[in-house]
Amino acid sequence: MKNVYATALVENILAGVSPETALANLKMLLQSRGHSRLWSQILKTAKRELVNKLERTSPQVVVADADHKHLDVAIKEALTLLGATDESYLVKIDKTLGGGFSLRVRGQLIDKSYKRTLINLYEKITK
Amino acid sequence: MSTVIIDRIKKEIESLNVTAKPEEVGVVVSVGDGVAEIEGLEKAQMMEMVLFETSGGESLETAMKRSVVLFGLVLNLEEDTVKVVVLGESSLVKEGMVVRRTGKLLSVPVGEEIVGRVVNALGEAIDGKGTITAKKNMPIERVAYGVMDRSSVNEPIHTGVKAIDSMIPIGRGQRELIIGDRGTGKTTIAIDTIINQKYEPKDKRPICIYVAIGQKRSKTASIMAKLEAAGALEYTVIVAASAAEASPMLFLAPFSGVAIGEYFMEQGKDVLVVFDDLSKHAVAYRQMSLLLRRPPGREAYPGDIFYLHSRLLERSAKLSKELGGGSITALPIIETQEGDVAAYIPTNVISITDGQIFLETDLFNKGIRPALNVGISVSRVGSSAQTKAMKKVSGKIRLELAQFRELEAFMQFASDLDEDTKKRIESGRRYVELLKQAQGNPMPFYKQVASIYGANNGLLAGAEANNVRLIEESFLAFLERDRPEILTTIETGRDLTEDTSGQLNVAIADFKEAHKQYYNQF
Repeated sequence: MKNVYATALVENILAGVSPETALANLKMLLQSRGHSRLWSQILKTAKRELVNKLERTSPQVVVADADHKHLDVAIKEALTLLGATDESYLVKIDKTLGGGFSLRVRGQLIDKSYKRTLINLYEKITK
Repeated sequence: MSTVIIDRIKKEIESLNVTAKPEEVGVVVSVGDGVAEIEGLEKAQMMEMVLFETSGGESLETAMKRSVVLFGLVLNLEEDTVKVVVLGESSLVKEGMVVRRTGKLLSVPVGEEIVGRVVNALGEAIDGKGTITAKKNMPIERVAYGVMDRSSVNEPIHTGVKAIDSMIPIGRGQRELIIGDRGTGKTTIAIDTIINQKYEPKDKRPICIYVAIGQKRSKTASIMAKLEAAGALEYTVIVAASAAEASPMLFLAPFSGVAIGEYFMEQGKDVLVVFDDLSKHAVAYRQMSLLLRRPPGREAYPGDIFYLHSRLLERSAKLSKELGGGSITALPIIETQEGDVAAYIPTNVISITDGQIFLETDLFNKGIRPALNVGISVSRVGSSAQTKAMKKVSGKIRLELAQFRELEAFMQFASDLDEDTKKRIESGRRYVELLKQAQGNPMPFYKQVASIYGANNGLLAGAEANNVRLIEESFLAFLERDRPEILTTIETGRDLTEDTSGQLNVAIADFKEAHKQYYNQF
């Protein structure tokens, strides 16, 4: 039940309803139906759904280090290749990459990280 | 460190392509019971292989140590997601994991290197004899050859089982179903058929592929040992998807087997594929379909269960001369419950195949082994798939047994029967005894011809039914020792000329003279 409420809340927010209004209205609805106990769980689920949706729709760049200025040009080139030049992107830090970056724009990925290159090389050699 | 390895690494580094290339990816939304739901992958194809990015979040060292390449198979294309069955350890798949398209349909490595090996449903070696480096891959799913690409089935494949080769002959390119309850000898017939191929000349010997679906690993291991001991493993491939494996592997195994067979068929060779057994294959497909949330039909099987087996078995064919003349002969096995051949899956497969061999528990328990019910077993190809020699001797045995079956009901009134009926019953009993055969003891066709000819021409006259097998054994030993030219003539000429028949008649008379102790005067 909580998933249904959470999905409805997220869809309302994404449709343009202001978050404050959506939350207030949801609270009233839960009170009228006697489902107030689900409030915290609904918020958690809705937050997770929103974060997932954002990650899936916005370009995401994963880098190994917080200081990645030297990769800006390469990242811009990759964004152009994937047709997302004008979009702002989310940045995530993943130290396991070793270096380089990976860029995901919706259903497409460009992976120029050291980790992926070395794993590909290792798999080719050991095949 | 070996220079070979160093050179290989240097070559790989030199040819490494570091230019950016966009890949199509999706993200795992949920995973459970071996099925992963993936968002994205909008252009994924049905039966396409996808690769799970299992190294996400792990250090390079950990990823290399584990070194697992985890593939999935796209089986459901839905509105916003695709459902993928995991071909491996599904516990490695996590929510949020990136999944890449490979752009390739599922294929299996094929080639001469695979003969003599035991592989899984993906073509990976599991016999501990090293990896198989095949030069070619064949797609697992493929459209069967059309009508105009085929020729008629006219060449026999000898099972080594007298009852089958004489009365239910199988041809190269035919599909003959072996159906019966548990423990009636279905696998035995299939294995004996494979072993019997060692009597064929090397250029005519079919490559044998035994597909073990949902079997116990101990059973597969004992079959492998049996084939190895008989010298049959050198021309056999075993494709094993054991009961311990996930249902997608059981679903794929027969298709992998027939794909391996198609490689050899297209080279003009003959192939024998045994599917042991398709009942378990249907159950695995049902399990997989239910997990993919496909709508269940009769007995909870999916609506395309018939298509599953029809498209598999249609890939057996005898190709035309223009395409090399190769063939795939299929021996699918179906296990019935309490002899119910009118159940869903058995009736499906009976309607697909070109004949069936019925094995009955009653006959098995009475000591008639192989427990074939020759009355209701049939081969729709018939005598087109028999050598001339066998055609000449098999007519009488069929008639005698048919008459015996009719008279069997009167056997309890033996004292009230006329002499002629009593003689027919005794003759029928002798033929039933003649058709009994020990497990793992396939008989080459030329010996079968000599044995049945003898039975048709007085070899067993005056003998008690209990002595029949002893007489047969002694007669064949007598021929091998004293008249080997008769057997050689039948083997090479594949016919029973008047001359050979004359020699056999003389041999029978001589044998009876020398072995009077086997005969009572009835």
